[in-house]
Amino acid sequence: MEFEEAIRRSVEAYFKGMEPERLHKQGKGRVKYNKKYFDRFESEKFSGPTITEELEKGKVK
Amino acid sequence: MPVDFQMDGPIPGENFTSDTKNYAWHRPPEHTTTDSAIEFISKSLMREEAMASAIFMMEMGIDIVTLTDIYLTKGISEGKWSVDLAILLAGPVAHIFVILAKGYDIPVNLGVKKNFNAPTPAFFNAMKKEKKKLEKDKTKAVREDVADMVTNQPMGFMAGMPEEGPMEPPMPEEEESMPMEGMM
Repeated sequence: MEFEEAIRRSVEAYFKGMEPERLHKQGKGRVKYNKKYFDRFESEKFSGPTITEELEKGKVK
Repeated sequence: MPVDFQMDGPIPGENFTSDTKNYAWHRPPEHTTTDSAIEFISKSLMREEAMASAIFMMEMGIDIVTLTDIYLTKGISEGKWSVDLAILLAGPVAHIFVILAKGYDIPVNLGVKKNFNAPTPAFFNAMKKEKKKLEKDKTKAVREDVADMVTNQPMGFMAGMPEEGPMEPPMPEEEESMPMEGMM
């Protein structure tokens, strides 16, 4: 697999909920900058749906 | 006589004889956890030049995944993180780019779905037609503008004169001495 393809799949997996924190069984609660953190930051800074919500609705590809 | 280059290959174990610290990625990476890497990434992306180039590329239509790929590959080449950590970092880095794009009102193109459509001959024909039409419209518009300019121009040799009497020669302005002190 090419590196670019790996990155694409990793980004897709991240926005579907498979973030680095969840890839390790002992990682839960140890990662500070997880998806929840970025989602909260995004919703606090900008009005409207977050990128995760937009992806779920199929507005962003 | 043809020369056989098959014997030019490396000798097994030759890699152990070379200096392995020649490149940044030969040494242990600077960041080994996602948190420290993300802290570094967010700080480096907040620099004016980095932010400007990222925004420019997003404005030009480059998708977030490609930007993330470029950024992470650069980090690997500089010895900031390993290839494995780069793949783990892809998601959070893409999210940072999304936040950056939203901050500058740039429409987000994530690029997760690979949709490359190769241009077909029909596409090129349509482009040619459109270009010809545009050129025609442009020349027509220029002709109309020139025609308007000619018809609206006042006629006669006095047309160019101002209405408020003859022009007086401009008075020479008094030259003020410029203070040069403090300029250097």
